[in-house]
Amino acid sequence: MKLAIKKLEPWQNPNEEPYISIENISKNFGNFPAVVDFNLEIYKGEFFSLLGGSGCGKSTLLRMLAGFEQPTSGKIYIDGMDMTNIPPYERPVNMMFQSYALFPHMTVEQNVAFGLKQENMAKSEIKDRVYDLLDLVELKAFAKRKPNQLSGGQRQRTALARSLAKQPKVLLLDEPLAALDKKLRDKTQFELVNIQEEVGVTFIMVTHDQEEAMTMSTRVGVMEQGRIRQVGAPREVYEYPNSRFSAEFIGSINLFDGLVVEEERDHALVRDEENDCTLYISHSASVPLGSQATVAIRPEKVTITKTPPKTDRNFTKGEVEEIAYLGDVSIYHVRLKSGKLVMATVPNLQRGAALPIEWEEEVYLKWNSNSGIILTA
Amino acid sequence: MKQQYLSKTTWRKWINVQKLSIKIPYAWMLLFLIGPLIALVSISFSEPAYALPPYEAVLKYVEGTYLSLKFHISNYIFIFKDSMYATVFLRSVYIAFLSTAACLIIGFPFAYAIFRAPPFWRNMLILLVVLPFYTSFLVRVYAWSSILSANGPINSMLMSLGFISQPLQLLYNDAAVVLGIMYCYLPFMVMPIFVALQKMDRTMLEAAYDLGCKPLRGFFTITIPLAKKGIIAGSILVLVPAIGEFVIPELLGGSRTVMIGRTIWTEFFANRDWPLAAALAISMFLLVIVPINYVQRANDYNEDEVSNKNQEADHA
Repeated sequence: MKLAIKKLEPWQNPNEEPYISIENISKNFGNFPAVVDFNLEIYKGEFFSLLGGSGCGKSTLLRMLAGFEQPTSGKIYIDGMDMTNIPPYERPVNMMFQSYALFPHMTVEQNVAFGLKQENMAKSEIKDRVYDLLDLVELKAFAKRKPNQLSGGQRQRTALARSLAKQPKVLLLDEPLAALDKKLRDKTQFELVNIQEEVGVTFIMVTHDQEEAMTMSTRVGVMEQGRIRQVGAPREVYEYPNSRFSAEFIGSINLFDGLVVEEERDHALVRDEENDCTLYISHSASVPLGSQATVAIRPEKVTITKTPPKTDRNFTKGEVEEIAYLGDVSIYHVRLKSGKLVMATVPNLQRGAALPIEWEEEVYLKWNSNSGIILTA
Repeated sequence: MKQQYLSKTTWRKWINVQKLSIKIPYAWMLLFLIGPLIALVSISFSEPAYALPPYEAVLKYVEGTYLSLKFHISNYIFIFKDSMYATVFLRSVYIAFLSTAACLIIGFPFAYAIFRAPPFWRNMLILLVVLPFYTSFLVRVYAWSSILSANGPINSMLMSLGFISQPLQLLYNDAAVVLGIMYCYLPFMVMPIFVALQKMDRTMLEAAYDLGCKPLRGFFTITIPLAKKGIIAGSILVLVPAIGEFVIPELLGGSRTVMIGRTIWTEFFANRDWPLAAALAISMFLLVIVPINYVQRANDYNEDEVSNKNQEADHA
């Protein structure tokens, strides 16, 4: 059954009209450019995440979508309508605030009903809708409580119900899980995705937590200094980062700088003199021979052994400096002769097994030819 | 050895600075609030006498024989029998209510303007609110009596503009008293409201707009309810002293504006009936403090405090 509602990928379909178009949006606060010439298209029913560190402009962008900030230049279209100069109370968009911004003087029920009351909807209709929503977020029993009588998770769900009450075209979520503890956050991630599938509203989420963005989103937009660096499905962004920045921002990564010494249609060879390491990559570098390139390899794609490999490429040598035991995996920090640090993630498959490799041991790190990815930006 | 240990802890207990810092205000309260209050209560149950002080103490030592303890409730009976006191009290409450309402009507927009002003102007406006306190209270009230007088600036301006031919009687009436109280107590209204507004999370309003609420409606459904605590605190701060206000009605009020403060003064100094005056003061105190304490308690129920009781529910 899950197959039938398998995530569509509308951005792959050239005939699909974008639902939200952000066109050349810039926003300056005084002299500080918060968002710079920003373009993005989001499709109906998507769960899109804007991912970036603090001050990257992701929240400003979200606030411009909500109408709390006016862009310095550019246009925002939602469902074909120009929203740029529409005040927040007239936009078909609702927001879930990081602080939840629940009205402390109103009960859960009144909070959820607040948006509907603004539309002069019939009382009985409001009540029905409110209770449907409270049912959805499992808060029916708490309808008469005030926000201060709720737990963090309950308040988060109240905020969600309130922002969904008006059946917005787009729901904006500003770090929706940031105020929850780790365990609850993991649980809520899936709940939020399920609710999104159930109501079919387009979600745009802002987060600094890459794990959160990866688990929940159909697509992720990586932001830096007011610009978008990469847009793509989580797997795509993780496996095929287009730049050093997005490679380093999402997950951990080992980077080898070198020169392209061989360049073919199906492979490329990069020579890293500093680390005396030759990297064979099973895709073309698409840069001229002899130019600078960076090869990125994820730590979980690096294997660690004590015996020297039989090839002359895709391996390097170093000394174990640090072992971080995380339970499910251990992360080995290996110092190369050049002083470079390389990380390798090893799953702890057996319980109680003594560590096969100890601190200060001389080890070989190797990887497959399809593990590395050549970054030119 | 044990003895030494004990004495050491006892010594520490006494010089415990943290505890001392709590004890000092309590001692202060006991000395200057509870003490006089007990004295006042005891005077209110005594009998007037031609003596110095002019009453017969409740508890006294009768020469050579015994201690006598006599409570007279006659003062209280007298107050509740004579409708004059009830009338004066109601009149005081009425004037105080009018003044509080006037304070609120002027004070709320004022506080809101300070709240919305850019930081530099905010500090300036707060300074302006507090500035009158740097001059004597009496001088300020006198100033009003000259402003409102028959040949004061208001009347002379109206006359020179030709609106009136005779000076208006602005002074010595209820309106003048209300104006005076409103003017003098305005900061007590403005400051708590301003603090309440400033404590308000501004995303509340954004959330309201986001849910389709227009700014004016947001003001009434979000801003005012969230400033409620400040409004109540400010109103109490104005209402309570206004009921017992003596100087302002004395200087700006007419012969009909007899307030309870004036009555108590008359009983104390003109009639030298200390027990009755004390009984009046205590009666007023109780009549005011009980309902206000109730309001304040309802107000104290903290809405933004998080209860941790339900936190476990998240992981159930």
